[in-house]
Amino acid sequence: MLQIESLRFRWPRTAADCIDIDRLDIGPGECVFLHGPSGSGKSTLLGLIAGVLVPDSGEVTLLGERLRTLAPAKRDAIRAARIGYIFQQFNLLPYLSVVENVLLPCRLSAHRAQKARSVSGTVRADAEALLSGMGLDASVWNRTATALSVGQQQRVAAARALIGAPELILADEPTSALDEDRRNAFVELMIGLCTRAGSALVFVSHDLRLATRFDRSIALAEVNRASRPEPDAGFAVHTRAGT
Amino acid sequence: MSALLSLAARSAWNRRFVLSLTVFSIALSTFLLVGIEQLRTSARASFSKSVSGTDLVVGARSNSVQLLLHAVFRIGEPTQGMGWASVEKLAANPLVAWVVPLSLGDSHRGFPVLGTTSGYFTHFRYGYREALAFSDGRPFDRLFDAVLGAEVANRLGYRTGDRITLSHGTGGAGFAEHGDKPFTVSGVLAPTGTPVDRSVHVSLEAIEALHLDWQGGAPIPGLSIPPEFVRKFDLQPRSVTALLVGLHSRASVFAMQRQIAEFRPEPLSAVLPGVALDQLWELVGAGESALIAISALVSVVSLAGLVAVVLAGLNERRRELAILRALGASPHHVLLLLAMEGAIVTLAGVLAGLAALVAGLAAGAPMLRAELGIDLPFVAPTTSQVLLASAILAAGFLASLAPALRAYRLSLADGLTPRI
Repeated sequence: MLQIESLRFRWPRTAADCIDIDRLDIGPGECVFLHGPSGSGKSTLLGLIAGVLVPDSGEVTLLGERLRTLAPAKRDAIRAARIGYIFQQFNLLPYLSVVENVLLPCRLSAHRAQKARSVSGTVRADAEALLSGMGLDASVWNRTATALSVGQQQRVAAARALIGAPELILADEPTSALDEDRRNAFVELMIGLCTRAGSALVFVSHDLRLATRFDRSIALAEVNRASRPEPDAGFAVHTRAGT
Repeated sequence: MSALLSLAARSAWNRRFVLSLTVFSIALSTFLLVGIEQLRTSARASFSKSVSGTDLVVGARSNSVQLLLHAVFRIGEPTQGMGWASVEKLAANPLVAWVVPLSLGDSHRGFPVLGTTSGYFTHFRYGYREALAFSDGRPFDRLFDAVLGAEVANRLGYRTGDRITLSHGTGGAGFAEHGDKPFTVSGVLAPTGTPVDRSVHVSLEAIEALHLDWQGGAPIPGLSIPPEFVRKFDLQPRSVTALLVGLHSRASVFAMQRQIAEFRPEPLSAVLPGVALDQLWELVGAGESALIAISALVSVVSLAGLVAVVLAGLNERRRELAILRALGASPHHVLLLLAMEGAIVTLAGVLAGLAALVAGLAAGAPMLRAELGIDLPFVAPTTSQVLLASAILAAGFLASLAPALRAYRLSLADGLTPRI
């Protein structure tokens, strides 16, 4: 489903490659745990897979589409239709309600909307089913996203990534802001829902204790020959969007 | 596209407290620009409709604008009078169809008193050559009859048959009263939207009779002539303020104007109302341009404020933009989102400004009408007003492309990991 070949990427105005991966394949519906220390290029790799970053050479092939050769608009359309993305935190738009946040992918991709309808009848019903599946009951559905706890927000983000059953879920350290109990529960829920939807999952974390729950565990430092401290990743400052 | 538009609106609403300041300043500039345009066109329309069908306005030699302003609009300093002999000579001129003498100087509770002849009611025209009509009563007939303009009657609550007294001079209250010679309201004119509405019309003889026992602006001490005796005096006026002249043929207007300019017995001026109005607009045109330039500058400042506010907020919103990117939004979508936000803010500002203007006009129209005699009709916007409002909208949209382009570049550089 996802093939990476001879992938090289260097951030502008840096001296060395950040990503240099010879080969990495992920099968349909496969749940992969990707771990590595800060600065090993995890976020950069996810950016390349999502088609937001363009490699200097090599290929990322998603569902048969070679992302590098596509026009930027096409890459964006593929991301909207085929990929669900979860950030470390602050995933939600503060000016939308919980349900509206979950529905965002359906507004940006007709394909996702249509798939969501085929599962639950209406996109809203699908959003609500996913929120229930993530353990969020109806009392929070119409609240402002920022009124929720961090753990609840991450589960809303997971529901949003899963709506319309995209072929690939990319999760960038989604549990780093959660305490241990919630972390385990979150991972269980994610894997369960991905399996049910048939979505592949690439779950990035530096917390190796989570690895056992996944089909496969990959140490990025082993596949990325350019593994070295990423100049920016450690300083990535996450601000609240739009307040 | 509609998804994006609603996101832009929701996002802007989320930041409404900061953006409302921008909306306010755009509203203010819209109010100024469109309002000044409204005032300008209304003033011109109001002035232009005040006199029509009169070929020449004649008075003692003076500046033509000043003569017109005083004789027709009762604005500004009184010009020197012209002798009655001249009036009679001009009336006898073969080119002249009719003359209506005007005599100003007294007032009634702030409204100007116009001494004239009954010919005023038949010859005077306003708007598109419309004649004066009576809503009640008839022209003055007896010596101490008065005909009221619509607004005078309306504001002071007078009806036909009421008795009023006039004041000497135009200074309003506190001035010497002609209390010994009361007038009876013989008629009330229908509204015209011109200075006629604000005038009290009496006969020239009445003006003369009022001042029989006056000299130099004050009653002559020890001399009082009761109204029942004034008819024993010669009430033919010695001078009038101005003379409205109608010609048999418009073609002879320049010939007549030349004749009047060369009039022997006393130096006179003859003014074509349209030409004098044009001179007036030329005079005030510089001031108008300055006002419009200033309000245009206010618009520029307010749009600069819009750009500054959106740009300053952009760093705060890099996370928001990254979320949208992760969901499949392209950098073009981000650009469009920001541009739409600018358009929404500008539109809100323009609409608020127009609403304030409509409200302001509704509230201020009676005052303007009473104080300046300028009619602010509550009508559809003029082409230039629509153009001005659209220009602000277009400029707002263009200005917001600056932060939009920056957001575009930021989201290209940030990808999914915003850095600050």
